[in-house]
Amino acid sequence: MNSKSLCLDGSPEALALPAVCRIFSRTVSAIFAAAMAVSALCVLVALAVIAYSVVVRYFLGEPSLWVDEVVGYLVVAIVMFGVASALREGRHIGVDLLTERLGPRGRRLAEAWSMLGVLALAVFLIANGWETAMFSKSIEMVSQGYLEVPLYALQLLIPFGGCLLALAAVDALLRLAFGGSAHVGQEKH
Amino acid sequence: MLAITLMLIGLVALLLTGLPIFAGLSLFGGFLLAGEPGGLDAVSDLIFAKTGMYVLVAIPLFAYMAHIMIRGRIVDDLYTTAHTLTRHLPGGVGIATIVACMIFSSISGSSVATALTIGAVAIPQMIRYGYAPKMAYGLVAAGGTLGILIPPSGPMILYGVATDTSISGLFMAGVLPGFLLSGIFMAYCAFKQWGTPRAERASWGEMGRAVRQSAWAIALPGLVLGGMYAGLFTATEAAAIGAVLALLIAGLAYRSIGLREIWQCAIEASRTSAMLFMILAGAAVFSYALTKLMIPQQVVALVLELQIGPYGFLLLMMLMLFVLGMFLESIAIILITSPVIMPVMAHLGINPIWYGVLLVINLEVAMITPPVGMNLFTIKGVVPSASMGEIIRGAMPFVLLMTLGMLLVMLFPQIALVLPESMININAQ
Amino acid sequence: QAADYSMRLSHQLPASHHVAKALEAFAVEAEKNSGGRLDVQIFGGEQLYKAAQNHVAVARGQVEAASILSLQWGGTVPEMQIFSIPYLMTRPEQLEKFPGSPAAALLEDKLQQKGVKSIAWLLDANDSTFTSQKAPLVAPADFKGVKIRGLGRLVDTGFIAMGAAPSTMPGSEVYQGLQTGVIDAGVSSLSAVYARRYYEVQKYAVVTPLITVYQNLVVNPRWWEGLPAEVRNGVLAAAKSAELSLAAQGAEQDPEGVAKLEKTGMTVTVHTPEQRKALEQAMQPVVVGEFLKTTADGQKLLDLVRQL
Ligand code: NA
Ligand code: NA
Repeated sequence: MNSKSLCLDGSPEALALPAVCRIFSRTVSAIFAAAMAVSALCVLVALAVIAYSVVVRYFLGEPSLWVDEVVGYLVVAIVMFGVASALREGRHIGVDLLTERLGPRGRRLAEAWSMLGVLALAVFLIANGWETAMFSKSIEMVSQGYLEVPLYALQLLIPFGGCLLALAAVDALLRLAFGGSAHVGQEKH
Repeated sequence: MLAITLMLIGLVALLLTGLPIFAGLSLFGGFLLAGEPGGLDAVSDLIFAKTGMYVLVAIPLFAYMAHIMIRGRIVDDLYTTAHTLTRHLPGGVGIATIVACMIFSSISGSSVATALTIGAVAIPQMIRYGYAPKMAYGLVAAGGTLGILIPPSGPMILYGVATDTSISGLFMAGVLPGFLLSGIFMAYCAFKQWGTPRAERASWGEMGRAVRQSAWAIALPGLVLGGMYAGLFTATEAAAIGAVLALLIAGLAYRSIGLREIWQCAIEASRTSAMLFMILAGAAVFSYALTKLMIPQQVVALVLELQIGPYGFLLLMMLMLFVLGMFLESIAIILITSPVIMPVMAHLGINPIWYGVLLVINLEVAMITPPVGMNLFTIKGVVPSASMGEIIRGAMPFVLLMTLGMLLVMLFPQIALVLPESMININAQ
Repeated sequence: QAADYSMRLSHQLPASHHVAKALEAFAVEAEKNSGGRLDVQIFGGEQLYKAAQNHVAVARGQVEAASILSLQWGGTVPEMQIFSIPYLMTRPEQLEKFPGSPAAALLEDKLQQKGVKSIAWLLDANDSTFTSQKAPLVAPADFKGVKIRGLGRLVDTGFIAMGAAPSTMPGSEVYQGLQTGVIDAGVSSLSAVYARRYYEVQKYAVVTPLITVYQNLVVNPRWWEGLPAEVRNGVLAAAKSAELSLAAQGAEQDPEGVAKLEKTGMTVTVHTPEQRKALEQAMQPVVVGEFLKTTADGQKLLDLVRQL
């Protein structure tokens, strides 16, 4: 995505959006702020947990056998909670060699096409991720490692990420449809 | 062969429409799998397995460290010092950036982590000192790839295990080619910046003051490297320790960050990582589709069938790796190609350590060739204002320079082999 | 000329591994037995799925077959951890009787409940090797304070009982961890110490029949039911020969493997029966206790195995 096409004032108020869309966009914005906070928190927790395990190993001589496993799940959470917010802010990378040569109208069409593609993938992830998690549940898979957590609970992060991604894509398509920009400038936290 | 070519052209065409890379790769992979019974079932399993990996955590943690160093103005100090030390040299700041890549490579075994950390730190500084943005992007994208050639190296371990080759030997063999490539990059940088005005050489006193002033900033990589090689922590743990040290230095020594910055840096790190990991997941879906349809296997088989001597074979392999490297991610390339070509190499009498180094240089090139080049995406991730086209154009000269380095290692195998042959006893080959 | 049925088989092993070679031979024989009606394609070395994904991939029919390590079932089929109980069933005469025994049938039934059908017990290793740098790990006292890369939750309770500190480092980090000394020791099969080149970074090796590692050749049950009887029998016969060829290799402690390791410059100790007994007494009771706590049919299985 090219940030030159990024509308700096993407706030729903600035556009002539129907009330329903405005409320939708504001709700989505609040959800994403929360999701992004969870994603960032996961980075800090991973940092703390690994640093803790190193310290404990050297000063108390104790192993922390759950760390690898927990950190692996934190990485999934960082991705699934962060992916949609990155989309909303136009941070996902596309090859813009051709699209940067297009006029404003062409670019909007290209952006709509991109968002439709993401929406298709998001819907697939919701369905396929749900199926995957339910299959794991049906044969009672547990995670490999020390914790033996039910795997389906962790795998549900995938359809959850799909839901957020779908929201972001629909929000962007609505904004495009009413003359706004696909992406929103980075929100202040 | 025609079908394969059409398929790859299809992917390029899809990506050129501007679709986010992660979506393009997953959708195209899904399209290829759609005909297979149960083919699409695996997608969520793949994404879960690909992203749920402990070792990947190094990327958000190094990104976090880089952001703390930037916000805490540790980086400004480092670059002011680097500038003071090198301002009389052509391309001094660029050379300092390559050195930073080399140092970081000896901590990290990943090219993305290297380009991510150095890129966030160095690109704004290089632009501050008058470099063309394109040059700055290309230099860091290429310099970052040293992460897998200078030991430690994740891909070398993977190749060593997959092909039963000495890992210590591979690590040793990567050192000189790593220095060679760094030297080529530095020479290119000096050549490109030759015409720009240079300042007068700093006096010894001035240099000493500059180094003293940034002592804490210089100590940071020293402590992380020292701790890792002393066996205090693993390469992945080094990322967490580095971030903690950066926090301590910025918070206590520089007093330049507060809770607000600590939180904002975490948001920045998670956003960049989420974006990069989704591309890794998309690449995993795409290469799963290709592997299941036996496409890379067929390409390798095609090359293996041709009856040409060791050098002809090697050249053809390099060409094939280049093409695969445009589209596939490095881990997939190692897993798919290594087991099949090992027997042929044994038959032709090609040294597996030497080949391993050539393979890794190819993987480095793969990281900066479009359409799927992880380091290109990493640069875009840390410099969102850059256009992909500009980054790709900036990286192109470095593809040629790295190919030159590879040819030198092909012509003079001793560049790779002299260290392992003299320094360790590679038993039982 | 295209075959009527295709069997895609995924495994995690490098091509040079003895079980990988046995699977190659299985593929050739199964195809031959089917008279060209079956095509077996092998995807080795984790090129298609990571080790942990193989179970689901077969159960859901993404591929038709996979070879899965007994250590890999973890808490999903906790009974499979029976092979990880130190010195419980590592003797060749036990292993010889195991396939086809009631104990094997019980475990096959457990696997069937988790969506996969096991058609062969491929013996991977019944010789474990402790590697270390500072001092050899021979007696229980040698483990005190040693940071060792563990073998999973169950066996690790045995290491903890001896005062060791097991760690869960991912496989890709072990080599470097041993090299720099983040961990002091490792334990793997004799052949893996060689294949993973731990001898480059470790001085001492202690060979002892600590645990047994099997690989189950599993197939998707629906696909299996859909095969014509002749093809199925051809596959079974090929699977049986693979099973037998590996069992023969595991019939005795491998003196050739020990010699090969010695040639690398490692100081190799092979446990005497007394040394073995000492480690068994230090580890087995604790691990058995943990095994019984975590399994539904643990006691029954334990009794069956002790009758072998
Ligand atoms: Na490195
Ligand atoms: Na590439």
